[in-house]
Amino acid sequence: MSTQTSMTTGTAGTGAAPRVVGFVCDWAVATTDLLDNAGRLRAHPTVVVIRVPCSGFIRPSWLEDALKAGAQGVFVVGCPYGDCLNREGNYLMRERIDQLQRRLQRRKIEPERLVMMAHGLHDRDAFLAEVAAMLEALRALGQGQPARAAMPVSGREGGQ
Amino acid sequence: MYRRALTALQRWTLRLDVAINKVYPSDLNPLYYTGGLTNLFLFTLVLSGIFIFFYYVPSLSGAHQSVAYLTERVPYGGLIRGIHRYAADAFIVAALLHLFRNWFTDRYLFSRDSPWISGMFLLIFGGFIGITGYILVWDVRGLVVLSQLLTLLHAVPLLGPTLAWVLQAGVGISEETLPRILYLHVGPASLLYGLLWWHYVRLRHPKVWPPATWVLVSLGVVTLLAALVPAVSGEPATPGATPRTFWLDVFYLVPLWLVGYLPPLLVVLIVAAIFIAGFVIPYVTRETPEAMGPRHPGVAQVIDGNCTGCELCYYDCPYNAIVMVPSPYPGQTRAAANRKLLAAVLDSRCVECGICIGACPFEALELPGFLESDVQRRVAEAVRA
Amino acid sequence: MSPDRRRYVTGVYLLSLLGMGCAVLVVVGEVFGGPERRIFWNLGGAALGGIFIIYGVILLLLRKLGLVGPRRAER
Repeated sequence: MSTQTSMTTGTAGTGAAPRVVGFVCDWAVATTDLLDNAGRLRAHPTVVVIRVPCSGFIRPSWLEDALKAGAQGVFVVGCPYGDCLNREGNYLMRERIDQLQRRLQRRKIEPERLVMMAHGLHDRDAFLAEVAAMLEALRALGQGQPARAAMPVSGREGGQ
Repeated sequence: MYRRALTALQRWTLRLDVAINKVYPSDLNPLYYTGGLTNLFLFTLVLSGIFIFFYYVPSLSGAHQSVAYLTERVPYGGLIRGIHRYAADAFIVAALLHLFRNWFTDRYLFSRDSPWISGMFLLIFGGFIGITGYILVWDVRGLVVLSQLLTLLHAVPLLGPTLAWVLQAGVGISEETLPRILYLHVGPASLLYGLLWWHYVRLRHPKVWPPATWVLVSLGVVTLLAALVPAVSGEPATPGATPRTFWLDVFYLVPLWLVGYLPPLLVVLIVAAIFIAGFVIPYVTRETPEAMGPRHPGVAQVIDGNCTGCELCYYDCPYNAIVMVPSPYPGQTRAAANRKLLAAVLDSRCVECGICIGACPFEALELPGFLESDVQRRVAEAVRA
Repeated sequence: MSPDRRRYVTGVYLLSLLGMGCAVLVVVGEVFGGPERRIFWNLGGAALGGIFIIYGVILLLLRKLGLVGPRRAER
């Protein structure tokens, strides 16, 4: 099934498929049999997954950096709300992403480029569906890298 | 074998969650609040127990009668008694669910062993309180429970007779016995709150109560049951009489039920083995450290020169593993030059989750097994690919 | 109004009515109850339990409607 979908998305437009970086909590959705050797999703080869110890581990500036470096979207996957192994990791991350979205919106960067998801270890179908929906939304936003274009000169974020 | 079984159990636990989360918003999934539900039932038990305590007479002749008076004559007394009875069952069910769920989903790793060990003590005392509660009713069932418990205690090597003497306050059942049992019901129940302090002490913002929906529904189910299936006493206990058959709550009193079929010493050994195994669980991991990959990145380290003493990691750490200490010298970066405080990680409390790294905007914390430079390299690779 | 939403709203109204009925039963149990007619106390107790359950389910439905609970939870 995955080969088929990758075929279709691959031929339909490698150029059109937006490049996305995903941070996935290692306790959340299991991706071992969804990834190829380079850490890309088989179903969506332009999506690269980086597994982290907890969604709360992610520093918002990394997401910003990824957008600045040329990714057209970033997502974070935590465990379902209420089920975080550390009780609060995914709630904290949701708050941080909300803040980051507001901050980026002031620089005309669409909040849709930053998605917080919550899927349990065996919730793979819902996860893939949400990634597909995100890619669809990114396609609708159009090509180009508004992140780089709209970013003001301030070199190093993160401090504030 | 153990590891494979645990992985399978984890799979089924989490598959169940996927199904439940389709019905409820995920943060209302009742299985995420088994601990809070246990605490809720304990609170219900304390309140209804205080009410019952006003009417209970701990004497051989008065006990059964006072319970009957409470049930028959006191307005809604039977209801309160039923609530006490069913909330006790629900307490044990919720506590066992809490135990199994946290066991199957690896919530005992690293320094989470402290809640686990205190939880085992809570289970032992909770079960003991339940058993003494059966005796206090002082009907035939209570008497049989007491005599079977005494059989078990007598089978304990060395300590046996002393334990039995402590339980019945002397040799044989006497007028002293019921006050002693009452004390052993109420005393350990108060002790539970001491143990709960230990259970929560390493946690910042523990989820102590379930969401309002589940508070109302669980209280409602217990109340409804208490009204529809009233808790009743059996025949009054007469020491020496041969008990006839009666309904026994097997799942609550498995060890006492087993006494009828196995030699008591064997039952004592089985119970002891189960609890010892329980204490060992947090030290036998499901996976090897290598297989854990990013889940085992090492204890967080403070990058001294970058720390500004802003306390953000201190507020976000879910395990109180970060303390702020007076800064002995200024930091190296411009932001850190005037710091008054410095963050310090207590290794014995850190569970390697990395939440402090996400909280720190000054790059002053790192996980040794997963550095910020690793993340940035992989993001760069991802974007280039 | 989506069919789901309509169902939830109808559910809230029906459950409120049912809860009202339970409240009446509590009063009935209180009026007729006495040591000789404990059945009425049990009736009142059952109705009380019913009220708790009904209010719990109403809260759940309100949450599903998005009227209570964290605003951003289910985006």
